[in-house]
Amino acid sequence: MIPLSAYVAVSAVLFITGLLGVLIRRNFIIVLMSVEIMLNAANINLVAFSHYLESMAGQLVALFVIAIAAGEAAVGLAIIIVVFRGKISTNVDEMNLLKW
Amino acid sequence: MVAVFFAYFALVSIVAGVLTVALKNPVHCGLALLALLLHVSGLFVLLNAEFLWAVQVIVYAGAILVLYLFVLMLLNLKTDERYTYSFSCCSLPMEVQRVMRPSSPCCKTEIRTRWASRCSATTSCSLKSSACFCWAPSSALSYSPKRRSRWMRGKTNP
Repeated sequence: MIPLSAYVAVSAVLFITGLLGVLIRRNFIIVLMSVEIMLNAANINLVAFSHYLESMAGQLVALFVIAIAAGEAAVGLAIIIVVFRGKISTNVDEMNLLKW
Repeated sequence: MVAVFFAYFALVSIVAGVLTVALKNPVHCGLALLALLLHVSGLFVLLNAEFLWAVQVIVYAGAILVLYLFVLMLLNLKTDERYTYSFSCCSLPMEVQRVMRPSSPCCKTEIRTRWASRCSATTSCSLKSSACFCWAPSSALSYSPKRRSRWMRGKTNP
């Protein structure tokens, strides 16, 4: 029997990986991928706790998270394509048009 | 037996996550993300969540990841521009000086020369292996008013 702490540890490592990816990488698509990694880490946590607490609520929330991740990816990639058409770069540091 | 499967899925998902963040070519990052999603779905099977396994494979690996790869190939991105500026220890005093007195003339020339040397740094660093970690805190470093105004007018980037 796998202890709950093992799943939580895997989830924490994946979440930290995704967080570092968001902070370090400058390609916007990679940043979105890192957000997906973080959402997957949260999903592992939710499903593990729903298994060990014997409640289905965690799986339900994980389902919502997957649906929202799909919408977020679609909107983010659409924004990327629009920005890329005016300016041949996906570098997040150069997307400062709304700053001033 | 379950422990063996758990070790496999956990290890491969962590490695795939690190590769997703660390690889240079964005398409390789997408493929590493695919491996991550499939192994996370394996963890779901170990947790008796078969429906979530199916949803993960269909929605994540089937829909979202195809969307990512489609956009990557549509934009035709080359390797990432993450490695354009390597944070070396010799540049650290200049950084501190620039932050302390950002309007001094020496700092301005410093910024300009760094911006000019950015292209050569790109080519030299792309020759290295894909696992080279040059930390790149260059959001404010690469600022140039001329470049920004060119972007405001809708031209392409320099």
